[in-house]
Amino acid sequence: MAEGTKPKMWKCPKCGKVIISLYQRQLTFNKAAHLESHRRKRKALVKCVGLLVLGSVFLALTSARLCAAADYNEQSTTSSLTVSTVIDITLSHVPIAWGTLAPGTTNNLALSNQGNPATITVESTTNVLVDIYIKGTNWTSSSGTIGVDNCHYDTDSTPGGDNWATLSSSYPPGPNQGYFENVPPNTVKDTYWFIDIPAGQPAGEYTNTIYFKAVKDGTQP
Amino acid sequence: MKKCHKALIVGLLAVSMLFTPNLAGATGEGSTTSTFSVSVVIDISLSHVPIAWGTLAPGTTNNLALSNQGNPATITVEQTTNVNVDIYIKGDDWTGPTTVAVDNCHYDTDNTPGGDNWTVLTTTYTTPIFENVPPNTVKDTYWFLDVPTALPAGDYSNTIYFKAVRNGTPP
Repeated sequence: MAEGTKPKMWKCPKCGKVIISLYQRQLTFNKAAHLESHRRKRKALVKCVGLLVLGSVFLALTSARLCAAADYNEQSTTSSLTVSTVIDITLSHVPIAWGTLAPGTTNNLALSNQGNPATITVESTTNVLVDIYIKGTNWTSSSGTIGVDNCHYDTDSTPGGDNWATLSSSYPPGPNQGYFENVPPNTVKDTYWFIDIPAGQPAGEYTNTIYFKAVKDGTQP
Repeated sequence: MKKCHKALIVGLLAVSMLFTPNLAGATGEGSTTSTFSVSVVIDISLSHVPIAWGTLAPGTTNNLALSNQGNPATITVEQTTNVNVDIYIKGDDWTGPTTVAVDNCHYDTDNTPGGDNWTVLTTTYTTPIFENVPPNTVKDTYWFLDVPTALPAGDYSNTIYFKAVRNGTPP
């Protein structure tokens, strides 16, 4: 047998298959083809296993959802309400009284616990913050009148200072122009009352009405 | 090769024995069981919702919900349901300017506060309000709310849940 026709052999290390060929070139080609078939098989196997795993997961999830949906049914709804505004104030240490005053005197402080102070309580039942406004009428008697602006009120018993205010016959227009602003429920506020008696004011008993109004913070009186 | 042929012949014989009908008698009869399971279907729907009370004053109790907005709120066990069911109810706290606790709310099977079915709302499912309800059944619930004194004014809302489970199973 000539050198060129001597058969050549190759044994696959993976499967043990023996490939025989007369020519080296053919053997190399067959060897490459055989190894490629191994690669393809491995690739296909990996693909199959992957698909199998994915399918199992999908099936498990779907069946769990279906079971859960069948075992019960739950519905929900919203419910709502609106709580109305409640504002409740009370006055104590009233009525306001000055007793007997001489004409031509100024800044007469009201009698003890009769305007010295006059107390406003924002009751605990109130459910919003409030602004408190104050107004009054002129004092009248059978013998004469005293203008409302002869009266001042304050947050302490000393005339003047930051909170010193002149009584007016109308509330400030607001909003947020109250004498007390943004007062929470369950709060006590004291006011101190002063009056000027004009010189030559006719003798007599004078009365008026003073109003205290609490409104929801930020609204008009 | 001979071994292969022998194995093939033995295999064919075995298969033919398995699938050949029994012809020993004049007639042949075989039997087998067949089974399947019908899955549970539970379907409820709500009507006369959402539940609403409108505007309420603080410090008031047992306020009945607005007409057809919780007075009543209706649960229908649909006819597609194929088991008897128990119906549970739960809810959240109301939220708004502050919180209104869930236990300020009661529900009932009539529009009068109190009585056997008067139930306080809770945040978890506890006791069924309706038990062993068959399909194609309508159940009314009536909703009452207490508004605590001095509760800050404003709008409040929550969510109320209705759950139907197969009779005798936990919610």
